[in-house]
Amino acid sequence: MATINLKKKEIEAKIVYYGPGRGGKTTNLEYIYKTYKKQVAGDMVSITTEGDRTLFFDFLPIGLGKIRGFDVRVALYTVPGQVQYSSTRKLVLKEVDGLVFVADSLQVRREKNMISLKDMAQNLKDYGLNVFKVPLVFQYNKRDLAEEGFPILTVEQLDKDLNRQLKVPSLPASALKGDGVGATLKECLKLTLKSLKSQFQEGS
Amino acid sequence: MNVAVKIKTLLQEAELYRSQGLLQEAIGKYRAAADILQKVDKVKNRDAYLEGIARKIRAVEKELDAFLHAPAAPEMTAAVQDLIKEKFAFAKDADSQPLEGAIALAKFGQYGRALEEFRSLLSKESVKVAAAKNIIRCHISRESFDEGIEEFRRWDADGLFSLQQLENLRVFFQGVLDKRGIEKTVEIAQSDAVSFQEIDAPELDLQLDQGDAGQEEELLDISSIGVLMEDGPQAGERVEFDVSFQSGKEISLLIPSREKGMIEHLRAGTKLNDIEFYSPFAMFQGAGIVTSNTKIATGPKRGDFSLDIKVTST
Repeated sequence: MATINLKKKEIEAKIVYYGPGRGGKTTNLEYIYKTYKKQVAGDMVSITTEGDRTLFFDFLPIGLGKIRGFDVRVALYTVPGQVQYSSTRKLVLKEVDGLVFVADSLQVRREKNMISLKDMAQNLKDYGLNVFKVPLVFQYNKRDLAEEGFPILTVEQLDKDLNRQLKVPSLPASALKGDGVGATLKECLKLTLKSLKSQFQEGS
Repeated sequence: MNVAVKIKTLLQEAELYRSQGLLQEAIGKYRAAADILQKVDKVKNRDAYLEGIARKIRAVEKELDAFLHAPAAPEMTAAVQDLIKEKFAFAKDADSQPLEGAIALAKFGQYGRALEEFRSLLSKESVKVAAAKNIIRCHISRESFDEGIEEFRRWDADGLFSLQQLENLRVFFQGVLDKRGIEKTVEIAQSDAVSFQEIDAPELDLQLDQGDAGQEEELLDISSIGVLMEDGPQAGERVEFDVSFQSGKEISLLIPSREKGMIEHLRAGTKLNDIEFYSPFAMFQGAGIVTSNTKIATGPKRGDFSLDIKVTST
């Protein structure tokens, strides 16, 4: 849940990049860190284990400047995608305000995408959150791998697998090249800030 | 597709997946290529090709093994620990917030730093018992049992806790040691040790702020619970059960048929007003209600009882 300080006119929100292991969540944050220097409000922290896999989480603070007089800061996190890190993955999700689900376009990762999405929905439920109500954006990553001969899923297939019921925005991306990374974040920020605004209005 | 082309395609895919860090997938493709190759008779140097693939598989398996056996929670830098402490403590009040930060450190396996943080909270009356129990938990997780017992003795010698609090901690510590089959005894040296009674000291809610009354709070992964029996043959005793399944705030227990006398007093609808929940990282108290009590009719556990409890508060 975002921290809203009316006196100081500050909003601090939390966006989590979720998805199967090796799907490109950390790559998204690394690209944001390198590319959007003006918005980056601190160092990126990555806690990795063997083979550069995320062990606990990645953390990247960004500042969006003033929006209607409020100083808006957003903390971007990734979760560890590997199955064995379920407890830390759940912990990172706590108090989330917005989500980017980074799906792997590779055909061989089809089932892993679905398992990860189910895991995310369950973890949200355990926190009393509904996957249908939390601001969520799908990113279909690794679209560029088709050019290298990898069999990949079509966007339509990914939408059918993951987004048939949720019907949230979905964007193709190649995080390694940076394609779609900014657009995904922008879409998620838009939904998250809209949701925070309505929560704030309900609460006031 | 021509067999040679098929094998070549599989090997290329295996290399591509390996480059992506998708090691299981890479191994799968290498094995598929080897399987096809083995079924084809007229291939020049077949054994050499098979050996080459086997070498690749061994190399990828080694990479996979290194990942699977990497330390689950290596010691982080102080800066990362500070970040964990700051970002994963959500309570608003001044005493609970640092306790949550310390619990987060323990959850991320940063036991050394977590111990320091818990120890600094022993001077705060409202959280000191919870901090002490979490110190014990840290020692259990680190398997530094003797160090834990030594620390308990210091609390005793320094008069840090009331006798009731100390007895509560002793029972907790001994219970965890016994449960793990560790043959060590935790004792109170003070001559006027009291019998175990529930302490009145405020218990900390380890499950974060209660501001959102309507929301379901997170419940840590619970490994076992201790129920203070209010009725039946063990009335007044705290009985421990292993948790066989947990989904959110619903936990299930398997109770052997020999405990039938106790089961009679745990019917659906029974309120359990005093439960201690034991998770790998923290111990906390709460209450629950028995939602079902079923005798298992088939399978190896036939005759035993399956008990479902909904946790109503922590």
